[in-house]
Amino acid sequence: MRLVKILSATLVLASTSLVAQTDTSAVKLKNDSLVAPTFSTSLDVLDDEAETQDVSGLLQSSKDVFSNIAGFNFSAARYRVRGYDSENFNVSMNGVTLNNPENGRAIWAFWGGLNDITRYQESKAGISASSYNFSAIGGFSNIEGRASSIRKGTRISYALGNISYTHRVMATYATGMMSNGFAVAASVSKRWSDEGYVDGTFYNGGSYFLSLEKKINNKHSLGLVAYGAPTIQGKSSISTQETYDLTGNNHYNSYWGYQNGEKRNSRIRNNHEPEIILNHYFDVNEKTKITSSLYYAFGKEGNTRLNWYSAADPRPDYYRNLPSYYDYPGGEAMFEQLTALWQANDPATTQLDFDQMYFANSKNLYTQTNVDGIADNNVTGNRAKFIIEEARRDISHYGFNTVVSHKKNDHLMLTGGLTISKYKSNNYKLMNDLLGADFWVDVDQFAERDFADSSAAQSDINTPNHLVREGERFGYDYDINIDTYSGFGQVEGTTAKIDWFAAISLSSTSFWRTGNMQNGLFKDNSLGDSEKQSFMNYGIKAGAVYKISGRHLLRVNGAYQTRAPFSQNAFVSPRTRAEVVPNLQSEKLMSGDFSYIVRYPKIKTRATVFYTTIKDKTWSRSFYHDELNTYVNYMMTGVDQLFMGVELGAEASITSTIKATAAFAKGQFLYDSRPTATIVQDNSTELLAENKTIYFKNYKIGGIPQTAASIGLEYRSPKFWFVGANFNYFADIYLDVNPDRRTEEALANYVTSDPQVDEVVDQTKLNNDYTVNVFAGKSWRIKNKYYLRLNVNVNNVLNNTDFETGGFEQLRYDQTNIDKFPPKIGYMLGRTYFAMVSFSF
Amino acid sequence: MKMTIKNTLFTLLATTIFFTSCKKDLDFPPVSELPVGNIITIDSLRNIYTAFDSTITSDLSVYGIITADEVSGNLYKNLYLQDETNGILLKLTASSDKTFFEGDKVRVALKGTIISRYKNMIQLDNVDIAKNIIKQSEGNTITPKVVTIADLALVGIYSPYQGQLIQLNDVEFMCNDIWSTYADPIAQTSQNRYLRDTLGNTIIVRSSGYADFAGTSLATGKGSFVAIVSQYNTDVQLTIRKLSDINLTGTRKIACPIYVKNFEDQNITSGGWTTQNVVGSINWGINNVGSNSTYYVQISNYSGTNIACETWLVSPSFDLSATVNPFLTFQSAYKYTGTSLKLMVTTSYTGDVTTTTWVDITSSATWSAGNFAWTASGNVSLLSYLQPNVRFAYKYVGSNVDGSTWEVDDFTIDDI
Repeated sequence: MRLVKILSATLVLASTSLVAQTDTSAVKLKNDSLVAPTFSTSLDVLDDEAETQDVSGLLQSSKDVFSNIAGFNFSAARYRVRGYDSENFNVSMNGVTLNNPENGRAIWAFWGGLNDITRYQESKAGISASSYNFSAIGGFSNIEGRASSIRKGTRISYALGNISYTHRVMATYATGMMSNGFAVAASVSKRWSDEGYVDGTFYNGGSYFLSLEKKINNKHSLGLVAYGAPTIQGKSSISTQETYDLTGNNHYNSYWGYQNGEKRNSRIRNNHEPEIILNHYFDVNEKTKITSSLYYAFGKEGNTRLNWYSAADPRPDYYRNLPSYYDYPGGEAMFEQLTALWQANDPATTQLDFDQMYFANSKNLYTQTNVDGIADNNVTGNRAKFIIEEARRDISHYGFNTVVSHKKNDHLMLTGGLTISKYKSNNYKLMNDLLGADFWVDVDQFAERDFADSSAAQSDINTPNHLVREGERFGYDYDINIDTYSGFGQVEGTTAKIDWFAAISLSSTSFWRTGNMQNGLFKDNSLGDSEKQSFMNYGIKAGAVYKISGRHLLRVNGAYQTRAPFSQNAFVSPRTRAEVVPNLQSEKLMSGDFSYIVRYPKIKTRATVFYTTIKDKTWSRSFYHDELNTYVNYMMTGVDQLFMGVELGAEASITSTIKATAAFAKGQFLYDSRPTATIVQDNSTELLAENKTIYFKNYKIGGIPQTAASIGLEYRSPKFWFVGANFNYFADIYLDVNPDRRTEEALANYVTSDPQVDEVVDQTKLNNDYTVNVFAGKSWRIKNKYYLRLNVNVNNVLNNTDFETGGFEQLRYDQTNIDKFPPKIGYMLGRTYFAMVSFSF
Repeated sequence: MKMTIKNTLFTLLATTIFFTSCKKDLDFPPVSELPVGNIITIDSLRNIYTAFDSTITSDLSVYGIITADEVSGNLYKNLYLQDETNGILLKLTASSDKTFFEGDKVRVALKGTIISRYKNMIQLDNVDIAKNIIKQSEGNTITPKVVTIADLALVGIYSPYQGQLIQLNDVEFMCNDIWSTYADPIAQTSQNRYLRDTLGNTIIVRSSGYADFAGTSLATGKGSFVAIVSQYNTDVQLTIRKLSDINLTGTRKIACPIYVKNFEDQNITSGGWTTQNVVGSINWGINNVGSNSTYYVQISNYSGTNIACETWLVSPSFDLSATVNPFLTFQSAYKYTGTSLKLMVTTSYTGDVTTTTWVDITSSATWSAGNFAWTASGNVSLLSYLQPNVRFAYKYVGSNVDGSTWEVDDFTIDDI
């Protein structure tokens, strides 16, 4: 995205080999600062969902005029190219797919801080031919980590920012292919801040990348890549408008609180998923190449959160802790008192109170009898009322893939590949901090209350009444296993007038759950291997470019494919049992686009219309229900989505130093069916609902701008500096809707004339809004050998903090009072900056 | 070629318009219609009751405004609903706390509710706030109907205003009640007080011990009074919604005694009363045994055996200098052999009963004949005490061989 911008700037600076060394700081800014991409599992409550930023808005394609502008200017508003989720973009390194098999998402955080490496990527937007795999309807990016492909030289940089991290230092060294047949590339970086833009957030990340290559002979090369990005980060919340109004802060963060006078964040993300890839490059002959990879990814992803037992909900923005809970005749005193405390930003009110939790934990002497099921094994101590637990997902993913390409002649290219992927994730809870207590009893408090059989409440009946100490597993423990075998074949042709391609794919996916605990409520289907869910899938796609002339092109693409449901959406309550949602089936994707492309040296434009349907998606969300004391899992099958719209991009050189850019995207991203819902809770065998029809047709997919536009101007001085600005406008942003409100049951008590009917079913549209971004840079060449560069980006320079970028209706709702659980809304960060100085030679 | 480009551009533009301009209607779950014929008035609803409780099985609805809610606590799991035709009590399956309030216009879906009668009060029972009551708007007002106490009297078996919000003008609480609170907030029992109009008609005001005004002293003046009309058998009762509905601040028609201490607040020392032990530690206490929930003050020296004691109950100081013909009345009751209770008076109280000069006026009063028979004292003339600093005391003496149990109530000073 930004690549081209600076790229062209630097081209002017020096027409020498600077090109490959141009800085992509803007890209980096996007990739690792806006971030916070946690992987949003269905374990996560929706709070986390909203702060997830994954790859889809960031897809960059250095050749496409629309993607350049959109990628750089739209992602802060959570724009997604064509409205697609991350699963519709394939991200790979050296041909090894990095999308997670459980949910299809590719999360930048896992290779964050490696910007010097990830800038070497090949990207294409939309349906296209790919020399790596069958790709995806949204496009692909392949990061080139091969040591010999990484430009020789040394680069050291320091960056200062105010979003997630304050400081970043980075050093990269690459030898290029040396005369001894070896090539080495290495990059390390560290990013940190004590507190980011949002209160209570902090950041501490390291990254490493090492790539070795040995050219064995003219035909064979071996490569080894290892990388990882251990990152610890304090998260920020998304909350209700009431909390923003009361605190006067649209970036109010409910996750932190004081402990002994120091800020502590209760939600910490702790990731480290390194990957090792062994590549074999085999040039069979001049026409045929075989690239093979063995890979292994492993490591952990941890997310902490508070939990509590037999205590009031300690979260400051819990609805009962807010003034609005007392907004009724008779509640005036509490309403006024709480309002005053909130408005004063009293930390004991607006934030967590760790000192209070420690105090409560220190005054709760309790004797647990028959600990671990051993008769008369009684232990007395302070039983924790409040804890910080860590939801862990430890992965182990290995596989092999090989791609053969054969250039039949100048007009025909054949490509084919095979991939085997074996994925396993171990999911469990770890006791992170007992907050001063002696132990936590591993029972479900709801089941404990509601079942006469005392074993029903046990997380693991084989060690009943287990006392959990810090560092121990508890609550749940299960594995998700996913085996995938896939292959693809592709043919690409070129003639004077028409370039074309066609590809097919075939894959087999099977997944199953392995329970490592025997849950007291689900004795029969919680332990051991579940039945395998297996799916055979295929895909076909084709496209052609008709060259009206060298300057005018028409492009048309089409694809149809089926895709196995993601395991993350398949199990109704994987924490407790092996049950899958009824009617689990493959998704069907159908997509087509048509483009008109103009390419003059001074003017480049692209106009595209696209139409995509995704049918039979499986959808799942979990949310914590305080009255049921458990997670409620909301699952839908038969979810159809429709994405259609236009993309326009234009770039024009007005003079030799001034360039203008414009991009416009307008879409309709809709739900297109009446799905069926199944609702279960973690701690009950009883279904809360099944076969519930969701009247979902034509609801907008929420949380993303369906319309976005940008115009920009940049000036590139022949004296090696540049400056530019973009004005960006976003419209048609809707709240993500709660399916349960679009049901016959939700309206059962109403008649058409009741005012609640529209209140319950209408979809909220957020305000249209805009941002202005500016950027500038200068570079110096010293002794024809050293390059010093300075880049500064300031986003949202007008400090528009009232820009609602998205949000969602809470899944929990009160039919008699829709406002009781109001939607959660996120705001764009205000003015942010990222400044970098780099030195390379 | 130019044409191709133009055609293409045109096609693109047309497609763009096609794609982005078609507004699609949102899906809509099935919702019931409410035919006009299914809307009935509260009057019709009340008339559904004939002789037996009846569950409503059809999709009828009534619209009305909530006239009384549960905010003050005087109602619990009850709401009153009124329209232009009539009012009715809604009996809820669960409290409407924080959900429905006075002034809310609501639709009540009648299906599943029961129209019934309890002690001659017509009510809509089994109302589930989550299902049967659907709020239409907030902040509506219903002006109370201005009526007289006589208008509220039974016609047949019902008060014609049963369930409705009314306003009485020129009414005052009766003197017997005026020293009381609206209800008993300690035992949380409901209590009846009586309003009287200028014609001498009276009506019951019944309040719950859970009401937030249960412990508030009755308004002492005369004026307007807004309440809901309810009924208990043949008693027509008024139900207070909130204290601000009571505007009794004018000059009374019938003046009340100078002072009454009736112990209904279960507090011996309220109003400046004190007790003093001269001998032993036996003390006065509050009781209501045998008195039908009316409280009185009591003393007994018997606790397994008789214990010698001398214990005084001393009144606050009264200024009788402006009175004409003041007199004291009280009620007494006693049982068991012992020294008689003495009534003493002084104008020079020292703060210590033993150093105060008392005049014994025991013989001026009529006392209980024993066996706990309550006996009115008759008017004890205070003509000799037209001065400030007048205090009275009851002196109780018990020995270790005998002692009576004495009870005193309704200590009243009045003037003629």
